[in-house]
Amino acid sequence: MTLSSPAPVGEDRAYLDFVLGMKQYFATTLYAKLHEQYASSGTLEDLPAYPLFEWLERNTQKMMWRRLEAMIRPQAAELESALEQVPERPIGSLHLDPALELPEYYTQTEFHIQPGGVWSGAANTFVYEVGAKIVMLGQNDDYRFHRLFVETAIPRRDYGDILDLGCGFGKSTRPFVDAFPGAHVVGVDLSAPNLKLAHLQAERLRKPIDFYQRAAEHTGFGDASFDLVTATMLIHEMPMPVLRQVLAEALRVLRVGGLLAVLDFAHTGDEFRDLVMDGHGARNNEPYMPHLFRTDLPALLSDVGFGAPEVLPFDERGGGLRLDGTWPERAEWHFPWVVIRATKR
Amino acid sequence: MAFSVGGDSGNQTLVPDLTFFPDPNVDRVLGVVMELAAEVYVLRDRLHMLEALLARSGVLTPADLDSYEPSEPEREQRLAERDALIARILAPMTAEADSPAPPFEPA
Repeated sequence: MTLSSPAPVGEDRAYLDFVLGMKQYFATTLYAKLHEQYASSGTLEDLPAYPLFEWLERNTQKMMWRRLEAMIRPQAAELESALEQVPERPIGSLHLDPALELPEYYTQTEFHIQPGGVWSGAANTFVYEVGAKIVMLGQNDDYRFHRLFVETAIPRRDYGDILDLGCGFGKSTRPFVDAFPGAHVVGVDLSAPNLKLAHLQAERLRKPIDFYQRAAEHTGFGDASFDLVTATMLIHEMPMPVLRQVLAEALRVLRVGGLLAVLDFAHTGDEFRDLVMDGHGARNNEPYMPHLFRTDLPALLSDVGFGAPEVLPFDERGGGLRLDGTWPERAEWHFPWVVIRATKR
Repeated sequence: MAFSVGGDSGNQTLVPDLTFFPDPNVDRVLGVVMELAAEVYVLRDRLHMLEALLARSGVLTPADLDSYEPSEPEREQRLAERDALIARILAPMTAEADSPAPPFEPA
């Protein structure tokens, strides 16, 4: 049985095209209109275009997930059994922990408004995989921004062991194998279906990765086991006390001189853009995102014990990491990507 | 209600979703309108493919469709359907009940 994530075709493709068109309108025309109104009057909440802006941000997500679910539902049983395949002659490994208790902050939030999250049903991971591919305004071809992160934000070094926290179905992990073929690459995630898919995809693509069902805050690995610890789009989905635990755990498992490199979101310093982004968390079921925006990350990293903390803008459509610290000139709404790096002293 | 493909998150509590317009009914109606708009686009897309396939297989050309002259009865039928559609769509906006509620006397 082949493992194929169903690509939208026919009426599904047309419907999702339309939803992506709505998202484009939201990010370009409507964002510009809102900006214009903001420049000439006061608070965001009172602007005539704001209710529609908020409505579209939330409801285009809901329309997308509903359609993807309806699309995958008839194939769910088949996909679920495909997920149970055992690869022949695996070059990586899969370690599930059925006894692992999933934290409440994870099970009680349907992140990104994906019904049931990515963990409650086996086929949910396929819904997530297809959604993740198209949600970045249709520009997420082959997950380019993950490769851009590895290529521009990770210094070329001879890493022995690399750990990807919250690895999902492995799309953030695989580029590390490509960039550092000599390294031993490990991914941890809470979702068993995600990890099964991650393992099967990695084997299909012949990328040796060891996957473990473990929490980023309790990885279970020994002290000083890794040279690089990374996390992509993870830390905005956790309460602040857990973020602190995750950073402390990363510090513990890193070897001296080892690097922490995180790709996530932060305020840009553009008052309007940041104000609009402050509401994104509530509108997209990411309740901890506003707290992350109010966190002084370099201070937190130093407090946990890291050295040389830095937060740098990242242009996912351009050249990736922006070493000069400036944000790219962009008129449209976009995710405020940043790279967060620190070193174990 | 949380639906998930073959799974159950346990988050089954029915709660009103976030609304953004001063009148939450606008949020709901906009949901209906955009769902219909998406369906219109799906139908247009389908129709376009159908025309393209018919043209490709030589059954007809796009020009055949554009130059098609309906008969007088056909055209009258189309226009009557159009009028009925417009009236149906706008009826709720006139707030005139076509089947008035009977006078109600509390028991």
